[in-house]
Amino acid sequence: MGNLPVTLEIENKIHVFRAEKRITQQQLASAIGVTRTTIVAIEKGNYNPSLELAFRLARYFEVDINLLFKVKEN
Amino acid sequence: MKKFLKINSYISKFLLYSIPIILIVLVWASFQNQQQVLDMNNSIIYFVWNLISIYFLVWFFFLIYFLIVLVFSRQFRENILIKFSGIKERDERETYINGKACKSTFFSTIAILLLLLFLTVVNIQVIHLSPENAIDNKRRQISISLSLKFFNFDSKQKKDKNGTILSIHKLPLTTEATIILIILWQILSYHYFSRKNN
Repeated sequence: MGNLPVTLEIENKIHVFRAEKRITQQQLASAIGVTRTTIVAIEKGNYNPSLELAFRLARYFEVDINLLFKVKEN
Repeated sequence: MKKFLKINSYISKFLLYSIPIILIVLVWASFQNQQQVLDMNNSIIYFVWNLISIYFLVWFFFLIYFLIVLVFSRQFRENILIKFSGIKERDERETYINGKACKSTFFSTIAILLLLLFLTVVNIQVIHLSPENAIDNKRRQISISLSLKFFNFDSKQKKDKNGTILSIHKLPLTTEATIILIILWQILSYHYFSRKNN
């Protein structure tokens, strides 16, 4: 089937970029059109956003998506 | 379509906000019967009773319309039942959570329905036999049987003393038939909507 594991653990640096921009979770949620609980879940790693949402976040922070999300190395 | 949904929305609000009045009518009717009110001819109570009765009739017909539209209009059904059930779907994560919750609800409902179906069709009897009916000197007997009927029509058409011409009361389906239909509907409608949303 291949060498990739069935599930990939994805980590993100949203909290870092959010702190640099000095905005709250609510402000970020409102800016990209989701609820604050979704931002909390993404930052904690409890929810992986869809491709579209991931690109929206990258576009909001004006960074490359690979800087925002990456696969956790074991 | 928007006008249709708007009209239905007004009807829903009318039905909901009229509930206190309907409750008053029902409570009043339980204490005072029609004949007692008719005897109070030309009084204020008689007038109010007539007014509320007409209001109840109008509410009742709107209720029938509402229930039929709820079954046949997908958009209206979603608008109403999202509020009724308290489902939130504000973003993709909540949609994802709803999907998982609905799957769990779907499976657990079918499991409960299967159990209810079993309990409805199975008959268990423990019988204490008289000495003359004992089999191999054993006097206790367990009888397990299944019964399955689909319809439940009254065999005799009784004519009421008051001369009732038509009386509509309950679906003519047995409990087990209703459960079987709900199980089939759950499974078939799930597959239908899955394909439709694909």
